[in-house]
Amino acid sequence: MSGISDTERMITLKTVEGTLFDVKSSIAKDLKTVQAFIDDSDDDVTSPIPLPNVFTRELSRILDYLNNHHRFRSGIEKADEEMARYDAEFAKSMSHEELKALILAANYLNVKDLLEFLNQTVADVIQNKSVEFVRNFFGIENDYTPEEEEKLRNENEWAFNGVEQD
Amino acid sequence: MTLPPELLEIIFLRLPVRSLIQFKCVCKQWRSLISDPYFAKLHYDVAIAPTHNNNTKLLYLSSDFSRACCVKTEPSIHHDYPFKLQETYKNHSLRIIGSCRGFVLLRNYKPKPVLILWNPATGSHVRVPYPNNSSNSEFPCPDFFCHGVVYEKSNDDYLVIMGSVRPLKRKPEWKFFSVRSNSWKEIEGGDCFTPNISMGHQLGLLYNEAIHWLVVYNGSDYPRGIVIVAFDIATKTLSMIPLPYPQDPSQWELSLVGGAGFFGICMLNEFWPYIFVMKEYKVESSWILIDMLLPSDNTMIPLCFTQSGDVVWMNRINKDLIKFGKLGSNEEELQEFKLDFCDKDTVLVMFNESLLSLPSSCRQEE
Repeated sequence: MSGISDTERMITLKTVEGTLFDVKSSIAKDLKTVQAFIDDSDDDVTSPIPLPNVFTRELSRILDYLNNHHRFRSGIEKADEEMARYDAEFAKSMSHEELKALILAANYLNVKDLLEFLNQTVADVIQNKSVEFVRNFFGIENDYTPEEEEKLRNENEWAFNGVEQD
Repeated sequence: MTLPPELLEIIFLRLPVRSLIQFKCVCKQWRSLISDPYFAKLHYDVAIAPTHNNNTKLLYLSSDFSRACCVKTEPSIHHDYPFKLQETYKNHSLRIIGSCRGFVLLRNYKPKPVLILWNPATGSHVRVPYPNNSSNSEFPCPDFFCHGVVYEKSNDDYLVIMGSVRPLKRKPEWKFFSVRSNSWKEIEGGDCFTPNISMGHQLGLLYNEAIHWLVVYNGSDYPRGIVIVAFDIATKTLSMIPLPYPQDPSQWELSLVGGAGFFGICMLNEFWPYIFVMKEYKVESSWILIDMLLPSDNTMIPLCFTQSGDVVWMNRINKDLIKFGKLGSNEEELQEFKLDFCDKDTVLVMFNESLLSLPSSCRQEE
């Protein structure tokens, strides 16, 4: 009787809302925080691993991303284009709030590739935008007085008078 | 919901300098993160890493000296945002003579001769006095022919290097200025490397922790002629790299060309140019002639290589830029580009923008 190979082992994860997700251990490897937890446990982990900082919506998206990327990587050569298309759709499908929530979740779970992709996505979004847009995006309150802000803008006038203005 | 500083920093590392300067206005925490000197270093290192796919830009002063204009070379040549020049610099004797880590080295003759090291993005700058020439009062400031600025990593210091020869004295003088110690020092062993007056002002080529110029060699190790001299930043010594083959200066025009990890020399005769690159740094036998599309006249000089292996050329007369690609590939299209606000004296220098500031100088105790 052949033994069950390592990649077929399933890990169960539990979100804040109590939803359970069954994840192949090969996917769980990309959730480095989870993998560290598994490595630290002496026995096989059978009971669901609780993720107190991760909501169902975020975990679902993260697993979707990882499953798709695993599929693209192990597939045929054309996967690069498909992967780029998937990534673009993935980024577009989220509101700014959802994007931030996903970054926090990906950071907590230490999902390296996804985190890099999300950070780049945010950088691309805010790169050519105004200061007001950026404040809105990150939910930041302006703590400068009007005089302070004007002085700062004047000192760096060249940066605001760019070739591209959004 | 806002992101914690460590995640913000990772996003900041992916933003260009101009965005970061603007975003200092978002809030005081952002200004503090963006102005941090450690962040500036990290941001620069990430930006110039080969994996980052960020090409070096070309920078030049506008003909009315109101701004420093930038040109990006990939995917196609296009203008990037300009930097404003301070009022005090608006002066027709202002000239770019070097660049390093987002700093530009400028030379100014009026009202007094002075060198200026300046980061156009942060405004951080220092005025560098010309070296003392107490030995000959008739020529208070020799006209320099080899100049450049480099970064000394071990000391977090910027060095301005000058190689010159005065008209009446045939002996060359090599010196370097340290921003941290705020003083000039002699460079030993420069006697056999004489800047060649006919080559005019050369921008040094930074490569492999050294800076390079073309000079005349008259030492004992090699026949007299034009060679490449390398100033090694760590050891502060000069050494010689022979050319692909001996040059008769009257027949050929030479210029060093680099960028995108290449170390090359362009040799231009009365018809057309040849470009050699050194496959292995300092190994004389490793010069190879590159096989690529080249302009078929001698009005063009090469400015730099790009990451995709193309070369950007400049027409010496009208300063038009043309990008030539690899021979035999689809990229044989010539892209022509007209610079804005330039004139016949415009000098273009390779430039990597940064948020860096100069170290503060501390006078050496006697």
